[in-house]
Amino acid sequence: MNLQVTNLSKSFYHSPVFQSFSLKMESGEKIGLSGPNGSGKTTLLKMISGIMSIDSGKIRIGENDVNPDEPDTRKNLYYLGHSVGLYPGLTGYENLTFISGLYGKMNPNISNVLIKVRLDSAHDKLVKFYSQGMLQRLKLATAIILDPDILLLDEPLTGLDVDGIKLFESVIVEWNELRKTMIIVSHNSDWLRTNTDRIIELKQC
Amino acid sequence: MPFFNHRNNLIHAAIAIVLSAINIYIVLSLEPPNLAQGIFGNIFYIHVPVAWTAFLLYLGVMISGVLFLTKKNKVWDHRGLAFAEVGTIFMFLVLTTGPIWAKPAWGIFWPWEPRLTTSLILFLIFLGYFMLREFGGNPEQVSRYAAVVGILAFLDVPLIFLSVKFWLPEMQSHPQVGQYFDSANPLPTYFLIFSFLSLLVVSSLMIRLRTNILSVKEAN
Amino acid sequence: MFIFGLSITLIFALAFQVAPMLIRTFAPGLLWVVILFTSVLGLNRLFSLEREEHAMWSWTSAPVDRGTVYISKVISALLFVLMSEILFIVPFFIFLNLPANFSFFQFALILFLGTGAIVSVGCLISGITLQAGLRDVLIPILLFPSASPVAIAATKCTGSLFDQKPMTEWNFWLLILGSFFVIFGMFGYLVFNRIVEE
Repeated sequence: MNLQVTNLSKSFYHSPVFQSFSLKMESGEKIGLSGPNGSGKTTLLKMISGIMSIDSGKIRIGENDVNPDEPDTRKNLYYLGHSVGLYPGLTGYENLTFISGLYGKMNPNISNVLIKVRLDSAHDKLVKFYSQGMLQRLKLATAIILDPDILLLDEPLTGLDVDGIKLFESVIVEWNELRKTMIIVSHNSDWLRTNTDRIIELKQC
Repeated sequence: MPFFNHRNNLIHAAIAIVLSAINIYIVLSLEPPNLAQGIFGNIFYIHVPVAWTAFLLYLGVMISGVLFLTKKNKVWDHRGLAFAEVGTIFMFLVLTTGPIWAKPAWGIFWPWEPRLTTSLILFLIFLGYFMLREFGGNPEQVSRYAAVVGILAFLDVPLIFLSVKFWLPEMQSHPQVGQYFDSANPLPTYFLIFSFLSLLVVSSLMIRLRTNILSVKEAN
Repeated sequence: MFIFGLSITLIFALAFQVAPMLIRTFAPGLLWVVILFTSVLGLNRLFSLEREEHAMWSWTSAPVDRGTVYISKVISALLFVLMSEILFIVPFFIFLNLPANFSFFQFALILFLGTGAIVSVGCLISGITLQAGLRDVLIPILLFPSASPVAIAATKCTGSLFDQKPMTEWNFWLLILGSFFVIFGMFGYLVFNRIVEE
């Protein structure tokens, strides 16, 4: 599914973060997003995912403009943020059940996915007791279950050990074969160069 | 101040000053309908138009809030804040002139009269509005929150007024208020209308000035 | 919330001991003061789960109608506050030595509409103050004046009920409560979207 951002503007504390920013992505394309702290990488992903409002401009996913009042425009994407974005008082399994219900995924095979990301032993553990690496794996599990056409991955390798990174790279290969559109934020330029089609460097306004 | 460098704004200010001067002169020279109240009776000529203006300004906050939420244009946020600030100043005047008039007229400072009570409640909501503006979080989010509170406050007005009106039936509008609208002497009514219109000119100048200051501050 | 309501009831009982007959006159107002204060406690905690670790991103980025989330918060807050009310109302009547010779159905209706009205505007205010620094202070500052029609109408209904007046004499106040509940419920549903966006 293609993604188009047109003339996007956004300010924080009266300072512009984006001024007339535009981006066009074809279906199945993988873009790396890099830049210094405060350049707006996370902000861009949050605006596309609907978590953050935009001041002006347009975001188009497929044939539809993203509109906060129309929830359906968010059904084909998933934002994997670097904050937890999950309920700490629920277990990993419960969080996945809850989120897959929000996306209308009936009978998702949660147990199998937890095995795939090697979190089956933490099945009944509350998320607040998860390590950083376990949280990243759980978020990866969410993305696998939801199976969206567009994936917005914000520093997805944070906290992952060597096995975790290999797992993640193998999942990206699977997503690539399924022609999923991806935007990946990372400070590791070498990794981005190897794993994405092109890199966009954001600069501070 | 750059705002007054523009001819139209200077003319607006001049008209506001002239009308205010005429207003003050008439308030001080017109005979109060009830001579027993002395000069305090004429405070009514300030109180009523100021109250009408205050409510109109709070309606302006609501309209600005709706337009800001739908159009997402920052100008409406600035206008909403300007309406709120000027409206609250006017509402403060209502709450001070009301008791000053009420004591000689009705014998008590605070009669829990429906309109005065509604004014007090709205004033308190808007004090909360300003606290939200100051401590609510990042300015872009706060603009939206403030718009919602502005709309909420004015949506509440009919419910507040109806509740207070029937809450203490013995505290209806005091009959002495009617003396100001005695049809045999239309002068007080004409003066109230003149006073209201002149206050609209003054308040609109204040709002335009404040909106300009906010827009310039944002641009810088 | 139940313990808080009980504590306030105790304070009222101690404060009014010197004039027990006065309590019968003030009881409807005292009851709604307790309910308002207890509601504030509940509203302070309403979005606490979502604030932790940005858990709300799970549904703000999901294809769900955010207004429905607001309605679900109103329902859950209403249930919690009503449950606390059920628990502290019996001690309220016992400690203040109030007679209970009125229709329980009508009393339940007043509690439901009054609490619903408080909670409908309260959930909106709780959402607005989600990111605020002085959240604990801002909620009561915004809620109490906004909910003043509820305080008046609910006290009038309760007072008339305690005086065993027929419902036809106080159904106007029930209408105020119901209107407040509906108007602010609908308003909250419409604007909640704008409130939860970052």
